[in-house]
Amino acid sequence: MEQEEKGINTNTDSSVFTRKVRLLSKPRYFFGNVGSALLKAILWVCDLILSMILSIWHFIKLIGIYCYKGVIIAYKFVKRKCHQFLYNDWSGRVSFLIFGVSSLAHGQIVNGILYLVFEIAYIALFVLYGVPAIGMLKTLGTIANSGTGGDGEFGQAGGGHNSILILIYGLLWVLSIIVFIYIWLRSINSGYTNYRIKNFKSFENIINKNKEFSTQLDAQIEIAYKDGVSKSNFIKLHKEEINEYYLCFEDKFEINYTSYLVSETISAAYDQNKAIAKQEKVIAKLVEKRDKLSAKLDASLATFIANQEKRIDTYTKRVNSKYANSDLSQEDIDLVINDYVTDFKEIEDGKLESEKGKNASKLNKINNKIKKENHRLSEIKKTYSPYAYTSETINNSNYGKFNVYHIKVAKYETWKRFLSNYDTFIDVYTSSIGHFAEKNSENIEEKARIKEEADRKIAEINAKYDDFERRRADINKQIKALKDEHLANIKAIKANSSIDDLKRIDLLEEEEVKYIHENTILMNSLNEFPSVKNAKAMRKEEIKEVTHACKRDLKYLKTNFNEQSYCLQNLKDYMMINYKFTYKETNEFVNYMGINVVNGEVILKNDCLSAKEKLESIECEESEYLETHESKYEGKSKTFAQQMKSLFNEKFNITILSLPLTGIILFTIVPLLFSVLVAFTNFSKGHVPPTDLFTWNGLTNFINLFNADPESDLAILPIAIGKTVTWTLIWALVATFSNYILGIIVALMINKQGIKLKKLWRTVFVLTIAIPQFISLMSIGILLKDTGAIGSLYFNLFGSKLGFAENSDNNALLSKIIIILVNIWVGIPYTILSTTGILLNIPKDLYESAKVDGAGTVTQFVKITMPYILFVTGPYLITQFIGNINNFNVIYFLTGGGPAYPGSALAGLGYTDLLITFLYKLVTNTSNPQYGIASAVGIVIFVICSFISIVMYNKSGSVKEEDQFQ
Amino acid sequence: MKSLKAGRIISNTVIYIILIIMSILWVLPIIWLVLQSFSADGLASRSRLIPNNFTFDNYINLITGSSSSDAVVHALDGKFPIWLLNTLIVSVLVCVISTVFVLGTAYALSRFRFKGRTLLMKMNLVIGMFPGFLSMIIMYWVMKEIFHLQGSYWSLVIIYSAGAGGGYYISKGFFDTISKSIDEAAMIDGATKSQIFWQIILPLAKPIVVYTILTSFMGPWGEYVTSSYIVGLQNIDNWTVAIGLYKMMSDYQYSITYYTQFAAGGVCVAIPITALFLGLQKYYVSGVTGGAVKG
Repeated sequence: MEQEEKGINTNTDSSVFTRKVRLLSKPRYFFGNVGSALLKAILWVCDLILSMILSIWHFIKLIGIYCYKGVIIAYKFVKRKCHQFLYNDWSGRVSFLIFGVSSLAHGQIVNGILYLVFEIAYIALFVLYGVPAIGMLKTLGTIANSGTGGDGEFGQAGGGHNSILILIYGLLWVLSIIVFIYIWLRSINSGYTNYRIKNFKSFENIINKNKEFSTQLDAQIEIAYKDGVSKSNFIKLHKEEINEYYLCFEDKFEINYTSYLVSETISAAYDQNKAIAKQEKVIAKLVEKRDKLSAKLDASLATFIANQEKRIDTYTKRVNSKYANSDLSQEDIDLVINDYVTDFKEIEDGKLESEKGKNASKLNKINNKIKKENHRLSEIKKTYSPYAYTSETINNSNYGKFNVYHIKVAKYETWKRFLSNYDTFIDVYTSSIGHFAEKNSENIEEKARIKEEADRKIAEINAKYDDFERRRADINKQIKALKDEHLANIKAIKANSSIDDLKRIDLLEEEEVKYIHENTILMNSLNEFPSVKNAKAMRKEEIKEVTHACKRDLKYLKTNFNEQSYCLQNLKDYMMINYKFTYKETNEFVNYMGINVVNGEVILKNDCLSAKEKLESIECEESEYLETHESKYEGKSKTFAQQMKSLFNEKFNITILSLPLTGIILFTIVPLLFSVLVAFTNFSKGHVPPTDLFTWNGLTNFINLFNADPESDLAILPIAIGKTVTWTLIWALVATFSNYILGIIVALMINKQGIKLKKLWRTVFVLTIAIPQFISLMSIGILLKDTGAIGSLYFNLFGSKLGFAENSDNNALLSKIIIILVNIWVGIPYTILSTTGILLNIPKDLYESAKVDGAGTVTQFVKITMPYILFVTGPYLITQFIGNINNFNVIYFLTGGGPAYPGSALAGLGYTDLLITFLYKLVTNTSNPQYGIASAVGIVIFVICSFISIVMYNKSGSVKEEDQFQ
Repeated sequence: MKSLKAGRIISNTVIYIILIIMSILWVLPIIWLVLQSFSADGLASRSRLIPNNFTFDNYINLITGSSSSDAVVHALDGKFPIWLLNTLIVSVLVCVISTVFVLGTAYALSRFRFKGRTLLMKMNLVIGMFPGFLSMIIMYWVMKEIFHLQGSYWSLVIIYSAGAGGGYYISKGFFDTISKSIDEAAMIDGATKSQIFWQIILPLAKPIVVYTILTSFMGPWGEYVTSSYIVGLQNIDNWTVAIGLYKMMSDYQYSITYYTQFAAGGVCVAIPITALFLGLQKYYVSGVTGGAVKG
């Protein structure tokens, strides 16, 4: 949208205004362009560096904020747990130590047993196996398999220790503590919930008693906050008053809970006042900003007007000086100037208006912001209430919903209502016998009518938008015709040798002014229509609405009724509409009736008599229940079966996420943790289990990566890592952008007007995606080698070897270039596929206005197509970049990393190796595996990737809020 | 006007020429591979664009295991059908499991607002920054020492499908575009959330379901890095086609024997997946486009 508006604005502005300027001063423009381009480039680089620094700073700040938040959350958490311990019954308190006692005491037998069994089993296993396993993590095993003896607990057949198993089991036991803590907290929570459900009434009473005092305190605090009294001072000042208040209560429990409520009231009120003050500050800042802006805009408008006058002045002077020596009279010159001034004014007035409009919209934006903040303030005020009220809502929503009383009474009522009208329902059912065929044909007719109606509506919508399109096309045609005419006129005037120079200038000016005037009118009328893109979307939206409504209506019109189904449907509808029974209740009642029709006769499972009996028994039950439950609250915790049932409804997310999440945790996150740990061990040649042990070696692997001992066999590492990192970054940059830009160009070519066989071209490119990469890349690799078809073709043509991926220093650059070219072969099709849709959606009027401005194909591509696509696909580009850093296939199947360095015995590293193939080679080299160093390389990749994505995300600014899509 | 039309004709011609040249370049390696698979010249034919003699024996040798006249090694004779079967088993199982995982995760993250939801999504982003192969370093040992699945393609099934839930982005983006009022209407009719997912959302999201099935089948079909490391180079009967075909060309000894069989095997592997892909191209494009826009 923004892009679009910009496009139109530049169009009207530039076409009307720069033309004038260009007439006056042409040569300056060229230097201006080059200079501004240079300046822009420098600014861009500065911007990039700045944003890098900024994002590091943001990152540090973010960590700080999270630490601060974490401390606060931990504090609140502990406080909450203390609260849960204080206000609890014996079973809830015991649940802090022995899981599930509270559940058992409150009738959740299965839950309680599960909790208990888990706790006992876990603690037993932890003491037996967990403690020794974690203890062994310190050394990762001491007895090698080659040695004798050992307890064999973690060992293999040889009886010694196995470092890998020790590492894995140790870490798993450490992680299992997290699971244990989670279950522990759940046990505590369920205990507290059970207690609150059971004692809902007594808490409600205390809260109700406290409401008045809470409101009173709140009002006092509001005044105190404005006077600058701090929280602790306030408590000190009102200590006596509060203590006096406590005396109203007798019960110790009541006093305790009241004191809790009072302290919460005070802190909540202070928080609220703080939040209001903060919000007011924000608003004040915005208001100040708006005032400044409006002053600035006024000033700029004034200079704008002054500039206009100045320009008229300059023009007058220039014309005067130009014709000072000619034989034109002053009057004639004045006439010329006057003509110019009137035309100029006419244009400039429009310009002025648009400038004013722009200013107004700027102010509007900030005003809207202020409105939003004010709204937020009112929200803050509205949602707040003294803590006793908040506590009441919490009590009701969290624990009151378990009140069985209301549900039961309501159920009795509906049953009574149903049973006392039993005859009516049977009558309704009987009356509909024999009408199903009628209904069917009626519905068929209705369906046809609805379809017709929908078609008519769609046709109307289409006609409306087609009309828009036609009129827009008309105007565009007119603009084009006008331009052609204008150019032709200019040509004619220039070619006309019968008039003198002055007259020619006159005519040209006249022509110019006329053209601009008419053009502006046409452009303005063009703006009245929605843009092509919007119109398309609006049309689609409207049609969708109509079809959806039609589909919905059709869905409820059944045409395949038979006797039974029609009667039943009729009865159900009657129940739901006339008696307001819910869907579920209706089904229940119909089931109870067991009504059916056979050969025109109604059959019932329960006839009227038994219904009457049932009614009596229910009335009996109800009165009994009402007598025994005078307190009107009967809390009951959910049973295990109910909890299981909710896993398929409101807690379906847990069911559906559990397996994938377990998979990710066990097979992605935990192995990642292991691998990160391996980077701090000497797991490598000579230390490979099960025959040998490995152990922790601190940062040695990282030190070796960047600064290895030149004497050791790892001496090649620092050189290798330097070369590989540089090449990886260059590769990712070049590969991403070459694919992106070339892909867009090819997509544009395929989609250009007048190009035929679009589908064929697309299929040719898509073929590359379909064929598994290892096949296509390996065959290209074979083709390009000196022994392959292209390699030998090259040799025959040029008499020298191509040397792709052959071991020689000179071939490094060549191999790299060829890899990038082949990557274009691999990658372009993806770009074509993903950008074609976007390309077709670029608003056409952007191009049209650019054409009117005289922009060439290249300018259009650089100024319109690229920014638009970049705007839409920014995040995609970042993922592509990260994907290219880890692009294993292209490198490994084409060159295998070659050509190799001289003297790189370590895993045969080569010039075209990326970090990821480097890692792969370190790991899979069976004669000299380097797991520790490989893990360190993996961490280096992680650091690079996350750094780049943080910078790019901050830079692109297109990290949108996800709810924007919904 | 005339010059304009002429200009358009010229530019279109240029574009046609470029497109034709590009198409040739794009199809050339594929056609070349197909031609090589019919070559009767053995390794020598790789230096020619079109082989001198044609034969169908490569395909027969590939499947029956009878080796050609210039065979030096026989280790891989007749293994291709086994590899193909292995790959099929792995791909189908992974496809089924990971489709359910991906769609379920996407649905849960799109329709439910629960505690820790954003944390989960952020965690997934951070995990995505680690190279996938890093976790494989230890997975090899886990599979070997704990599950005792060393060198078996069953470990591949576990590894490929277990982590699949992380790739929910595109499906979630699609589910987000399906209006929530449909859910609400169904809930009034008495449907549970699980019924809504299976009976209402999934049929509506057919393009993305097909896309997910297609991509999760194609992934294991041509995957090399993980499978080569996890399965290892000793267990020939457990290899997938990617390992097997790579091995055929890995050194000179092997390539003398198996070069033409490699070409034939490549064609055999590529044909079904290409047919499947071209048939379901429409859905793939919708998935890729959605993903590109939503990031």
